[in-house]
Amino acid sequence: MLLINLIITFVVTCIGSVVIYKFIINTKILSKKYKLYSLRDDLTIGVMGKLIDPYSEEYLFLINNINIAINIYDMDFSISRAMKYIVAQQLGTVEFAKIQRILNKIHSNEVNPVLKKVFEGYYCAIRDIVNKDMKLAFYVFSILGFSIKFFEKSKEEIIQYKKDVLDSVLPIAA
Amino acid sequence: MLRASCLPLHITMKRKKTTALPEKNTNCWDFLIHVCDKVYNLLKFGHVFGAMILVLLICILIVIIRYPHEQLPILTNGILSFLGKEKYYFIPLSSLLAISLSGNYYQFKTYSKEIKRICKCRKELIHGLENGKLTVVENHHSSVLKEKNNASN
Repeated sequence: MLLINLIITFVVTCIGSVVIYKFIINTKILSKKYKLYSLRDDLTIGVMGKLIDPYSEEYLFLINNINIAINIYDMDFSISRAMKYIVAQQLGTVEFAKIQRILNKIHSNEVNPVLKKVFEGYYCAIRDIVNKDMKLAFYVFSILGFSIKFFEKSKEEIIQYKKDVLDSVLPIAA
Repeated sequence: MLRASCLPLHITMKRKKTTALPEKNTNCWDFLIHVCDKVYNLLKFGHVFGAMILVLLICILIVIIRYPHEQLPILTNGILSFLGKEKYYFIPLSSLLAISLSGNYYQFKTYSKEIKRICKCRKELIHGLENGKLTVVENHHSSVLKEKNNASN
C-alpha cells in the first residue's frame, strides 16, 4: 500500500504541475495579452470613427507601445525584452519628452476621451508588468547589488556602517 | 504537368528560394541574456515544480539527519503509517481534481470574456461600416511586424 501511495503522489505531482502551467499560468499571461488587445481595438475603432487623428503623435506613440507590450507577452514573458523596453522609455530623453508632451495634452483636455482612456489602460498594463512580472527581477537585482556593495567594504567600514545605521535608527525608536 | 524531377537541374535550382538568414554576431553577453531569460521564466512561470519537490526532499533529508537519533524511528514510523494508510490516495487525487476544475473554470471565464469582447467589436465594425460611421484605416500597425523589426534591429 505504501508503494502504491508513493507512486500515486509522484504521478499526481507531475500531472498537477502540467495542469497549473497549462490552465492557470498560461491563461493568466493570455488574459494580460487580451487586455492589451482590447486597448488596441478601442484605439483603432476610435481612428475608424474619426475621433482620433491616425497621424497624431499620441496615437502613433500608443499604438507602437501597445504592440511592443504585446510582444513582451508573446511566446513567453521575456525579462530582457521587458527591461529593454522600460529602460528605453524611462531613460530615453526623446521618448520621455514625447510622454511629457502627451501628458500635457491630456491634462489640458486637448485629446479625445477615448485616447485618454486607452492611455490610462496602457499605463495600468505597464504597471502590471513592472509590479508583478518583474518583481522577482527587482528583488534579485537589489539583493545582488546589496551583496556586491557589502563584500566590497572592509571590516572596519562595515562596523562603521552598522554604527551609522544604529545612530540613525535609535533616536527614532526612542 | 511537369514534375520538378523532369526539369533540368539549373531550372529546379532557380526555383528554390534562398531563405538563409543573415548571420548574427553573438557574444557572451547575448548568451548571458538568454540564460537570464530562461532562468527567470523557470522561476516565474511554473516550470519549477520539479525543483520545488527536490528542495522539499532535501529539507526532509536535513530534518532526518539533524533530528535526535532516539526519536527518529517514532518520526519515520509516523510518516510511513500516514503514507501507508488505505485512504491516503484520496488527498492527492482530490486536490488534483480541485486544481484542475478551478483551472478549467478560470480558463473558461477568460476565454468567454474575450470571445464576448471580440463579438461586440465585430458587431460594432459591421454596423459602423454599413452605416458609414466608420471608415477603413489606411495604415496597419501589427504587433508581429513590430517584433520582426525589433529582431532585425
